[in-house]
Amino acid sequence: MRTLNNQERAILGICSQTSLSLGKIKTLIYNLPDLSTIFAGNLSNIPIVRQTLTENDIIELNNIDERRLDAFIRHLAKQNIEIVTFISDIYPKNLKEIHSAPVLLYAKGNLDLLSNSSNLAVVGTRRCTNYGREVTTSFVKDLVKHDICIVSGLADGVDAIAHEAALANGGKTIAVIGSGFNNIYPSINTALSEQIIKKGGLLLSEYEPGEKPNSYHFPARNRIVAALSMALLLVEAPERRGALITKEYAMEFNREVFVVPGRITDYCSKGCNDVIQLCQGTMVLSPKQILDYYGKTVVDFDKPKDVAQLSLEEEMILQILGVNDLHYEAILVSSGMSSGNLNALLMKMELKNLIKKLPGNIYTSVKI
Amino acid sequence: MLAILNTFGLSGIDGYKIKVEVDINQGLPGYEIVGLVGTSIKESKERIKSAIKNSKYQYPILKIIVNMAPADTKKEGPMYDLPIALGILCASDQLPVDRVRDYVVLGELGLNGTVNKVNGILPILISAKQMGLTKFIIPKGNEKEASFIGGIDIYPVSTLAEAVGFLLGEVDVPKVKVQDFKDILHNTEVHNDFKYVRGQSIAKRALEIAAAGGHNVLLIGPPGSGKTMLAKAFPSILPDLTFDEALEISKIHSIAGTLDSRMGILTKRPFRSPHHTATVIALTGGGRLAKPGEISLAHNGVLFLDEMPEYNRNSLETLRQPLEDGVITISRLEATVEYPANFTLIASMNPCPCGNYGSSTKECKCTPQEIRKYLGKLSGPLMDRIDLHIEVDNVNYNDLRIEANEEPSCKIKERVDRARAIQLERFKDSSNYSNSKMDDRQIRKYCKIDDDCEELLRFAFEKNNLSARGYNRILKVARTIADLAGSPDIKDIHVMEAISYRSLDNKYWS
Repeated sequence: MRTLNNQERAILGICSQTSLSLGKIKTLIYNLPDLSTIFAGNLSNIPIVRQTLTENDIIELNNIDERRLDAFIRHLAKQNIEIVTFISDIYPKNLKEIHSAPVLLYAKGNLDLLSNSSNLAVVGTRRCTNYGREVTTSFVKDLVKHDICIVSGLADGVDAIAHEAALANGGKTIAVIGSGFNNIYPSINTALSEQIIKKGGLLLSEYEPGEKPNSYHFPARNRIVAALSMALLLVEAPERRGALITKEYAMEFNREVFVVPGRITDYCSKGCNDVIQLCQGTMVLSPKQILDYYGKTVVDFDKPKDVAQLSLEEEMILQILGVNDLHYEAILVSSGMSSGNLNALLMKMELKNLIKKLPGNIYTSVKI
Repeated sequence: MLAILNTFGLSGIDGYKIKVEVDINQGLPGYEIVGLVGTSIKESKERIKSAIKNSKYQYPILKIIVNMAPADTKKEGPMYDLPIALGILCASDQLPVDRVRDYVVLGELGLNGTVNKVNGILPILISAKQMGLTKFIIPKGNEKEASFIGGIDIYPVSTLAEAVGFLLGEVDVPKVKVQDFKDILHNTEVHNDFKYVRGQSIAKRALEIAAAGGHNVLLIGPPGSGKTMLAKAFPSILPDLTFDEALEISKIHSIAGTLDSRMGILTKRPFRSPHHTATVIALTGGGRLAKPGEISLAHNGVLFLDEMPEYNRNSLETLRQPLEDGVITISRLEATVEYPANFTLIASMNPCPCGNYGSSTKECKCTPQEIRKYLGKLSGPLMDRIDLHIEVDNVNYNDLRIEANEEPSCKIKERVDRARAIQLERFKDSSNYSNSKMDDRQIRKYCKIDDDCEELLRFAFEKNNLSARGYNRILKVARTIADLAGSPDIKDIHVMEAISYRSLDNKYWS
């Protein structure tokens, strides 16, 4: 753990042991020449303190226990948790721009990513469809190859897929979580969070390691996701969900919003399509648009699949499938094969990555 | 005077010989029964007394002592009323002892002297026959189940007086006529037929494979998609029972008292579907007397667990060992018995708490976490023992324009019978009779695949994240698929098809 200077130590003390609001803490930071004076007592003599703080606040500040603070610092060090304060050099510049920037971040993993400027927030629904999964995976794959760092919220669905895809392709990723590090939510993503740290990613949180996931943490977490990034990619979002809150923040912070369109009948794409209709974001059809925005020259995209090696039967199945998702029975009738042989063939094609099986015995050809 | 008679007791599904010794002495009138007997035998005193009096015989007003040897085995049940009553008559000189000596006597008495039906006659007769005993007196109500055992003389009696009359040679009791098992086998009718199930081709194919190789199946699908209907139709494609198998099952059902007295023997493979509130004991068997449970009653047949995640976790976990070994050992204070439990498990479940995950007609409202939690109710080791995971869906088949021309069960059964015949030939020197019960050595011997197949399988494993335990399961299923196709070797399409039935290993479930 990096050693904290007196100022940073004071900020940690205020954040961890008092209930002062962000605004009040920032006023103190800006106006007190040396923050560590709060440990000295007789705060009420300082005019600016008297103006901003209430009696209760001052009592709370006077009650800060330095021994408890040092124990907490040792505790964090033991868990390899770093402290990034508002006044620190490594505090992300993007984040500092916004009004509601947190004064303190707990961080775990590769701290170099804090100074990374080409971040992209990838957000979407927790209950994504196969379409959302495919789009997220393929976009992230191309983006991380061009050194774009993926920022997301380590939630289920699109968030987790984005993190996974970034790690799978050797890319960098930042996860901003809405709870303490010891209470990853949803808990199933604990393994993913460990992977992120191991593979050179970064975990950030505004909350103390033991903090529980509370519902109001998540919209607050979203402001950090939006602020850290240059642009935001909205993959699948139903109406009025967390992903759209992140989009609102991105617009508020003057970040570019990229939106992946969906079918107008899809519940999960309603939010995205609305954003496009209201001209609140740029519709993206390929990762290239995003790369252009980041000023990256596009290299080595995957070549289209080689179609020469297909057997006659495989070609027939692809032809039957066309662009639609088809039910097994429909394929069975159209192909005229026996059930057993068709099962074997479909399995083989699935292994070759030509088609994909979806829940409910639906098959779809792999488009991307 | 002393009289000694033969009768039989049951330990598990095997019978053992019991001697009933009755001694009548001078002294204060009384009745004493010894030899570690249960309450129902102790109570027999009053039944016997009334039955003897009401049959116009003399109940001796003397000291009566009854001993049941071996004295160190706990004996239960009312089937010793008749032998004790005959013993008292012999000891009081109303019946010559040497007339009774050659017979094994079993039966419960009513107060008016009728001989009532008892449980467990079939396994007793089979064991007694193996021990070389040839003459039996049994209740008339058990005549049917006794009629499948040839080579011994069985005399069914309906009253105590008839039994005595028969032993004295005064009454003529006809021997039980031996029935041929094959004659009654073909009288069985099928209620649920696959021709009534529209579509569901994957499920039907998978059940065909399961029937042919004795594999376990899990049907996953939304409510109303036909899981239960498919499972209920499953017995209609199971291969016919052989006589030995039928006897084995009937023995268990005879002990449990669930044998139909009009048939006397099971002619269909049992289909047991215990409710999901079933306790561990109800499934495995047990209780004070270590009675067989559902899994033993499903021996050589089907155990159907509808809505599997609703079952108590403990109950499900107890299935693990019997699924592997095909037997269950129940240890109780008064008995330790081993029951066979070689069943095909058919389980059904919804994919998520609301049931609509993957449904094309209804929307699922569950979060990924809820779905994981629901599927997590089934432990990994249990899932590993299920070879075929099938998704059943409630597609509107009218939309798919499929003609309602479905294959009837008898057609499918013909293919199953052919595949089973191949297996019976293959395993004729070993104790198992189906591909699903192959041990490691047999898998190596009979499930050889060439290098290309091996490569394909390895690739599928990496891609679909299959568990290593699933490897042998896939090979066994592939063997059955090859048998259904009449192919001596396992080819790549057989392996591919086998892998396609492991859909729960697929990633979208996790």
